[in-house]
Amino acid sequence: MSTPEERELSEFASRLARYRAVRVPPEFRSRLRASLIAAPVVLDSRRPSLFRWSRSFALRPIVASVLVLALLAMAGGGVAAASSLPGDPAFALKRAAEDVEVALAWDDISRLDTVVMQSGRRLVDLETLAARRSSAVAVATDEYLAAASRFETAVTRVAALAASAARDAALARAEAASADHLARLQALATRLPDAAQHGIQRAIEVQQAVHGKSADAPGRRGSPLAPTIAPARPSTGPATPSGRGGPPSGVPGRP
Amino acid sequence: MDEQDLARRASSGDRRAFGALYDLHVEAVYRYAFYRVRTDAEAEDVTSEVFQRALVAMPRYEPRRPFLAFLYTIARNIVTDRLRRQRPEASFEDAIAHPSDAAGPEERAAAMDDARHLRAAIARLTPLQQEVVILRFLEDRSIKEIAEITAKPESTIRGLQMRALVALRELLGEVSS
Repeated sequence: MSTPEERELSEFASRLARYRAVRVPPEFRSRLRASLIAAPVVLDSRRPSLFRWSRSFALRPIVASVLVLALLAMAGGGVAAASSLPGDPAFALKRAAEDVEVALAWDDISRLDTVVMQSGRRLVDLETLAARRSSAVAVATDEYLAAASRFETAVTRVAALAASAARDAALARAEAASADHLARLQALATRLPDAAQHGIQRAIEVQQAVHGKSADAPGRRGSPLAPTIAPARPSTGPATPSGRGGPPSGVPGRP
Repeated sequence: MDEQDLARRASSGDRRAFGALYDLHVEAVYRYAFYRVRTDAEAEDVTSEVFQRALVAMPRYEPRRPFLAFLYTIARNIVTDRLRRQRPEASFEDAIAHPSDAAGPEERAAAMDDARHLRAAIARLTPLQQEVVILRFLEDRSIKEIAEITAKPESTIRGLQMRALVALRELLGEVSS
């Protein structure tokens, strides 16, 4: 037999159930779902890396270089691939070589540096094609968005590491790169066609998230000069593949 | 397809399967975050980070464990990190007094105001009491599940839930005279 106090508590507990009515804002819900489905992610591996043995012999960079060169040479189009742009047939080869670079990175910090460098290349590609008013701008935007998502994932992982000088330096480099990207994306957004606006606005959102994560990592002081970028055009939803050339590389389904 | 199958497929990189798991659990994760942080915007940030981390960690997920428990574990780690970093001067009252993210029809706004009032009260409980109140009485999780998520003995959770309820009722001003 319960006491009156217990009964009152029980009734109070049952009244709390009405607070379950809190719901995820629908726009946020669909935007997050779309980004989870589309964003390329480097999954944690359960199995030991094929190249783990080489760590102790400091061979990873050498192995990586050899593999990248072999990949390019085997296709007989190394030079063409290296200078290719999104939308070019040889671009897939260039991306494959970049994936090898990422896979063979020493650790999370060097992986972050690698993806920062690669996302910088995608931004240059995008700026180049935008300047040429190329029809491949939408593809380049998708490729940049995919690179920015890899950037964000890498920053998240590094920010979760224990504070250290190396980690903080890497995050500072990422933060600076992200600020630079945001400024250039903002400038690009005013010049890109409507077809590329979804992607560019999403890319700006991702870079803002990257900037926040790199500045707010535990044990690290954020930049006092964090940029505040207003979208050039209102975002009308999550990025969608442009329809030309399929989904960006790194997304399942990309040849 | 059951949750274990979805989790197995998501672990091997099937993004659609992960999307299905997201659909199943995003509301519960958001509610947990909502009642453990200061603002609606923070709740969105935590929810987003939970699923991003879960996606990366999928290969390490043990499919026999309920997927929601896996998500709650990630969520509580994220919330704990955020609370540790948060500036002490930013109070929950401030967050309620400036509900910049409150919008929508009147009914929804009123319900959300009630929820924010509860959130402010929950914030005054100890972290473990907060978790017990949210998981037991808002999310209807069993004592066993909560013990697993919080890594505490079931007896601790059982004892704690009554003290947490008493404290919360006082904070909400519902004590009978």
